[in-house]
Amino acid sequence: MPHEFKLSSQQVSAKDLPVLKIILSLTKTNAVASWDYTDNAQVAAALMVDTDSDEGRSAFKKLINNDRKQALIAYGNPPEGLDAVNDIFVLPKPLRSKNIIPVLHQAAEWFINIQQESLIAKEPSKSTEEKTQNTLTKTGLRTQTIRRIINLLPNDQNKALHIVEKANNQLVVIDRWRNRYYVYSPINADISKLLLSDARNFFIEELERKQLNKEIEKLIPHELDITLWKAALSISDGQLFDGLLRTESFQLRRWPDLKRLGNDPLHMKLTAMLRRGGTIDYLADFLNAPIDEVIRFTNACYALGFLDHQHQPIAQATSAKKQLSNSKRGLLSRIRNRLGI
Amino acid sequence: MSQIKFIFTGSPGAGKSTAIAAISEFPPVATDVFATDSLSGVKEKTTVAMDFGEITLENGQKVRLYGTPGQKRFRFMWEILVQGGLGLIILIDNRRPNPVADLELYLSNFETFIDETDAVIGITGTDVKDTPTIDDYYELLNKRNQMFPIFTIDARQKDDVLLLLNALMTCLEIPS
Repeated sequence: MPHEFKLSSQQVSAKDLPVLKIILSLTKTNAVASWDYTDNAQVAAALMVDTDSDEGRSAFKKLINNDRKQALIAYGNPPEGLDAVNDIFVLPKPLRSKNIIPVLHQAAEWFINIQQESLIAKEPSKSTEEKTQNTLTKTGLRTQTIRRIINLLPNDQNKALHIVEKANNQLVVIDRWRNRYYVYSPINADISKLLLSDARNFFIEELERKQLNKEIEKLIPHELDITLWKAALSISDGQLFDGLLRTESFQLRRWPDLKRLGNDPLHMKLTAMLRRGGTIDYLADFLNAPIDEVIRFTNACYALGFLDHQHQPIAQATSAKKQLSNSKRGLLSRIRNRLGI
Repeated sequence: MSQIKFIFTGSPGAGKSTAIAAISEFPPVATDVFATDSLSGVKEKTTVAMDFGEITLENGQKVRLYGTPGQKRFRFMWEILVQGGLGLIILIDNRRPNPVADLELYLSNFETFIDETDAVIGITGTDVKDTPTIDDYYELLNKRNQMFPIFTIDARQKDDVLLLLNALMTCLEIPS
C-alpha cells in the first residue's frame, strides 16, 4: 500500500489547476506515494503556491514564517532569497508530470520526517541522542539514499518491468504476475546483484501485457520469488524499503513459502507474529530478535508482496505471551527436541 | 491424564495416513477398508475410523497422531477425535475436483477446535495438478478472515510433515 498524501494550492490559475489534478491522479499507481488534491490546506501534506504573482509571493512568505506542518512548493520563480531555504521545494513552469513527480516525492519525504520528528519529540523517556538516531532510522523514505531496482518492484503484482542498461544492453524482463524473470543472455541469469543495483543506472519501463508477451516469446523463464527473497534479505543497511516506516504496524496477508525460501526459525516466528501484526520494534522486542533481522525479513516479505500496512493496529498486549501456559510451552519444546525441529 | 495429540484431517486421498506414517515411531495403526464412491479411482483403501501413530518424548510422554477419516460419511468421528488435541493439520488433495471447497469444508467442520487451538494446511498432489494455486487457497482464507500457514507438501517426505508441525507449533507459541 502506498502512502497517501494530499496537496492543496494557492494562487494557482484556473488553467493550471485541472492539469495539476490530472497529474496527481497519475500517482495512484505509484508504489510508494499517491497524491490527491484537497481544498483544505489544513489536511494537506504539501501546499503549492504560484509565486509568479505579487499575491502569490506574499502568501508564500507568510507561509514560510508560520509554524507549518505542510511542505511548501513554490510554483514558478520563488521569492528572491528563498530558493536557498532547505524547507521549500521549487517547481518550474509549465506544469509537467516529469517535473512535479520528483518534487512530490521530496515533499512526501519532508512531510513524513516532520511527522516522525513530532512523534519522537513526544517520547519523553528517550535521550536526545536516541531521538536523533530514531529520526534517522525511522523515516523510511528520507534515509533511503540508494533507490534499488528491488525497491521499484513491490506492491503491484501485475507489474512487468523491462530493465535496460544505460549502455543500451537489454538485461531482464521481470513479470511479477507470473512470478518469473527472463534474461536476454544466459550470463545474466543470476539477477541478485542487478536487483540491488542503483535504479538510476538503468532504464526501467513498465510493460503492458501484450508487450510483455511479445518480449518474452523467445526468452527462458526463471522463478523470481526465491531470487527476490534472497536479494532482499541480503541487504544489511538496516533500512526499510521505500514505502515502509518503522513506526507503522504491519501484517502478513499470507505466509512466505518457507519450504522453498529457506526455513529459518526466526522467520517462522516472525511470520506467526505477523498474522496478528505489529511494528518492527514490537516484533523485535517480543521475540528478543535483532532489529536488523526483523527489518530484513519485513523487507523480504514486502518485496514478495506479502505485507500489508495495518491501518488500525491491534493493541499489542504485553500479556499475550502468557496465553500459552508454561507447561504447554515446555511440552512443545520437548516435542521439537524429539522431532529435531 | 489427558492425551497429547495432533489431529490430521483433510480430503480423502490427501495423504493423512502417509503423513502420520512419515513421523510415527511405528507403522500407524490403520483401520482401512476398500474405498467406495469417487475415491476408488484414486486409491484402493480408505480410513474408516482413524489412523493412529505415536511419538515418545524423552520424559516418556507419548504424543499421539490421529488421522480422521476423510470421507463425509465418517464425519461423526471427527468431534470425538479432536477432544484434547493440540492443533489441526489439514491436508488437501489438489487433484480433486474442487479442493478449495474441500478446504472450506474442513475449516468449517473444525471451526470450534481451530478457534481453541490453531491449524496448518498442507496441499498435496500439486506435482500432478498445479491448480488451484496457493493464492487461490489464501483467497479463501482472506474471505474467511483467517490466516493459517499453507504449504505444498509431499506427505511421504518426513521433512515436509515436520515443516507442517513446526509451523503449527510456532503458531501455538505465538499469540494470535
